[in-house]
Amino acid sequence: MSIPEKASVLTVWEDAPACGATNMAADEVLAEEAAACGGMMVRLYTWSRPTLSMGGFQKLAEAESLAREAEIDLVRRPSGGGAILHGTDQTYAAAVARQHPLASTPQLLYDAVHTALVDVLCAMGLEAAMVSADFGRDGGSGESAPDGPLLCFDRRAMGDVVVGPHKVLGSAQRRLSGSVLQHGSLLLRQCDQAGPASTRPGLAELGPDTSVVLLPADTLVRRWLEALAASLGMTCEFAGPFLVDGRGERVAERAERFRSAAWLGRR
Amino acid sequence: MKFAKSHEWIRVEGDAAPGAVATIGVSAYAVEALTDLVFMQLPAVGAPVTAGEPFGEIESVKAVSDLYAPCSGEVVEVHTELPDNLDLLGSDPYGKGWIIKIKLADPSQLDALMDQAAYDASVSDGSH
Repeated sequence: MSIPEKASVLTVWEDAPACGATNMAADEVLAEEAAACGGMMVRLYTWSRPTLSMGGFQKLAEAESLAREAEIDLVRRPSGGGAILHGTDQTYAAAVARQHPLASTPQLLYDAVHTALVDVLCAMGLEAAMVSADFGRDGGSGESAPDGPLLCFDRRAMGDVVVGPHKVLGSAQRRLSGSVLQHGSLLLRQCDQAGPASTRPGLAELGPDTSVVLLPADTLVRRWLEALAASLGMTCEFAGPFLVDGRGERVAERAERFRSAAWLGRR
Repeated sequence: MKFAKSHEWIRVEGDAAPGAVATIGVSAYAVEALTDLVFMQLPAVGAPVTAGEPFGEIESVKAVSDLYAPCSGEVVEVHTELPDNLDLLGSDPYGKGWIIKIKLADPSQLDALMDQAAYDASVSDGSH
């Protein structure tokens, strides 16, 4: 296990699919390591089973009902925002130390990560954009309250990445004492797991409408993170899996909290 | 009024003696940085708070943040109307936007906090 000492390196970890509690626990450990090294790290991951991750303060009942009907797992994130149906998305966790310039306000990290994706999608020919500041002044930001629409991809907030009217990337943060942890989900293709009412088009469905040939998902994600690193004057280093033996005990300890009824039912 | 690095303020009512009551809130800078606030979770009256440890949480459109106690003590009053009137945090952060009142356990902890000038300097030079 190595922690980069140079803040000029964006370390990117890529993990095999894991359950919701393990993923959330790993992200907390990631945040601790970012705080310790003073820099920025990203963990890319997917899920071992289709999972609904709900925002830190969303009410349990509606999310639990959807998860039960769809026969999918349910986990509560430490970050805010709306619930995300995982299964056909690329999930990321970005962690930056509190002294890092990107940690000073929520919008800076949000915009950095999202702008990099917009640039890559536009280079592919997709008409991608970020939701403008005007949206919030029209009352749209209220949709991002915990009691707003259940699903993240039904909400709009300044900086969300959209292709046409469809949101394809949303993120939310947990601001900790030593670091900022940002969760996000890039919808690669639509997820049918929870039925038509919860199905939203992903990049694979939006590409053909604009005669765009999409890159393979792993290539797209790599270009996205390389673009992010370049925009920050950093080099991108792909470091392999984050969930290795040296972190296993710490991750397992934290995973118990995310499995607990107390955490899941905190609101 | 004193400030913590984590942007909470604390104001003692009367002399800063053990058992004195102090009011706690968050700074105007922090409220502005978090942008649109949407939810807040506060402790109950009687709950202990520990200096530097979270006593509540606040959610904005983009982020969930912990609220950290500047000093240790016991919660004696909670601004229960605040979660339904989060605009007060922005419109009057040092007045009607107060969050909790605590009975101070150790007033000497105030000495480790910043005064207004030091806090203003810390946020302007980015050392927060």
